[in-house]
Amino acid sequence: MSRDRKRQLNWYQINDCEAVARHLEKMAARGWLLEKADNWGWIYRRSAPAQIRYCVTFFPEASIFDPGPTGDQETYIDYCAAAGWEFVSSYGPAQYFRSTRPDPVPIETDEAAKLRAIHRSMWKTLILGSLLLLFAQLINVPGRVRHFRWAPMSELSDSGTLGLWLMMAVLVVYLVGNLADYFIWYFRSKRSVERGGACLPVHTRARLWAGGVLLAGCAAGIAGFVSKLTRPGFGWVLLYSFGGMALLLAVLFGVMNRMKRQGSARGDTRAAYLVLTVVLAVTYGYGGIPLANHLSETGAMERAPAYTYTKYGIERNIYRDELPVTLEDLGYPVSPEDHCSYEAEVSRSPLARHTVYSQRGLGEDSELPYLEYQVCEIPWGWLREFCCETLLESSYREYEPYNPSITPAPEEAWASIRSGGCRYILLYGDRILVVSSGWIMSAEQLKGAVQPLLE
Amino acid sequence: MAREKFQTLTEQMFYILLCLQQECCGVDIMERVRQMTRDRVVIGPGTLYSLLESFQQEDFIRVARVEGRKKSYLITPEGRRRLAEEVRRLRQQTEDYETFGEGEQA
Repeated sequence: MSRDRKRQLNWYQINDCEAVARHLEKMAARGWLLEKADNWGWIYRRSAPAQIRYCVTFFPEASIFDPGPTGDQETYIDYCAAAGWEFVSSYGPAQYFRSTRPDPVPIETDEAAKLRAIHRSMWKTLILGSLLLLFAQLINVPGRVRHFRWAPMSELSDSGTLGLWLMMAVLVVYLVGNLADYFIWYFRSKRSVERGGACLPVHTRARLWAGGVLLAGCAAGIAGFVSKLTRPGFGWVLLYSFGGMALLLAVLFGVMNRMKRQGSARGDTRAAYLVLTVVLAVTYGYGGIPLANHLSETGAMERAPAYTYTKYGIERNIYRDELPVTLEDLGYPVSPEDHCSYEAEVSRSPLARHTVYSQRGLGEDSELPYLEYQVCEIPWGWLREFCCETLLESSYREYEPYNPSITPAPEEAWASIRSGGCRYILLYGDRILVVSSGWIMSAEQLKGAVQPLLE
Repeated sequence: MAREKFQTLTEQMFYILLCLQQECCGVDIMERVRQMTRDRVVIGPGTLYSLLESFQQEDFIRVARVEGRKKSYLITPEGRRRLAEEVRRLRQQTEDYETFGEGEQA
């Protein structure tokens, strides 16, 4: 934008015509005249400060896919011009007029007709758009819940995942609140108009607050993603997620605006928009798979190993991280030929801190069993309990309550013992410990594994 | 009590139909109604457009002439019938007032 032009986002409720008009009047008094309304908000051009009256009305037959005003819309604009209202711009059904007369005849003088026009326009804009966006959010919920049930500790400690949940939750609450606010306003206004009164004022301040909360929620969500940038290769994931979405929207609106500028018929632009939306959404969705494969194959998402070892033609990373308990501590001798990898992965979020330690022999002839233990610290009791319940219910294993003869004794414990190994879940204060091994641990070994984790 | 669409006419509806007993283009209706009512009834352009659309759908008026973007309208027999019905209703109200309203005051 040049210094003589300015863009502003529109945070007002679509039906809040009065507040929008007063806002545009204030901008004109400050020397910014509305030039154009589009899908994001308004574009102003600099001018001398002026006292100008604005009016926003709805012409339900107009569509965002129209290349310009339709014949009927031009008639409507002519009527307004005869009453002293100059047409400024329109976006879909919303029509922007201005008047330099101090007291022009209002464009709408019949409240029932005004309410009908607003409601018909809202179905095409606010209601349909909100329902589609709500559907797009809710369709993701079962998948995300399944993912949470599979690995609750990883999910709770992943700031990126929490950011995604936060953005989804804020958006759903915002959309539902927006729809509820509109319908309450509509039915109350309808009752008022039927009794000979006027349409009721919209809750402008509450609406602007809700927009602010949505913005803050999205910013917090994005901050969650950005905090993971220290992880190897995550920059690519972030670039694809946000950059890809921005590119997708730019292409979609770019094509739509170009077709409108070229004067394409409403039906053609709408068909192109819908086809392009589906094609781009599918491309975006499936485009992540080759990226993930590429990142996995090139090891771009893995940190630098101590050395690599090739087993059955596949290159394996061998790490030498510090572990509080090792197979050696539990009585298993480890030789260099075992090519044992010692790995410690820490993830933290405002809700939880989760560390996964593992040790396994990757050598061709290694007969070492695996050892894995997780420590998850969750400060809130209810969340810890919920996480524990999810672990017990949704794991592919079946657990039995367990009373290990170890000190210090856990507050609660469960065990899943099979011929190929065992897994214990133990609760100590604000920590959940999950100890898994490729053999059935003795009580002494379990004590040896648990004690260093409590320090 | 809810006012059903066109069950009773608002002042703006009444004067638009009254005005269209003679052919008149949309833009001129606003001015003519002002003159007829000596500025007592003012019709906004958005309301005029929407009422003309509704009257056409109800067959109360028809397009009499089209010159470019300028359309002229004229009342139909159905519109005249509806207007006369409204006048009867108003007259009945006035009579009722004269019979009962003034009598009670006295």
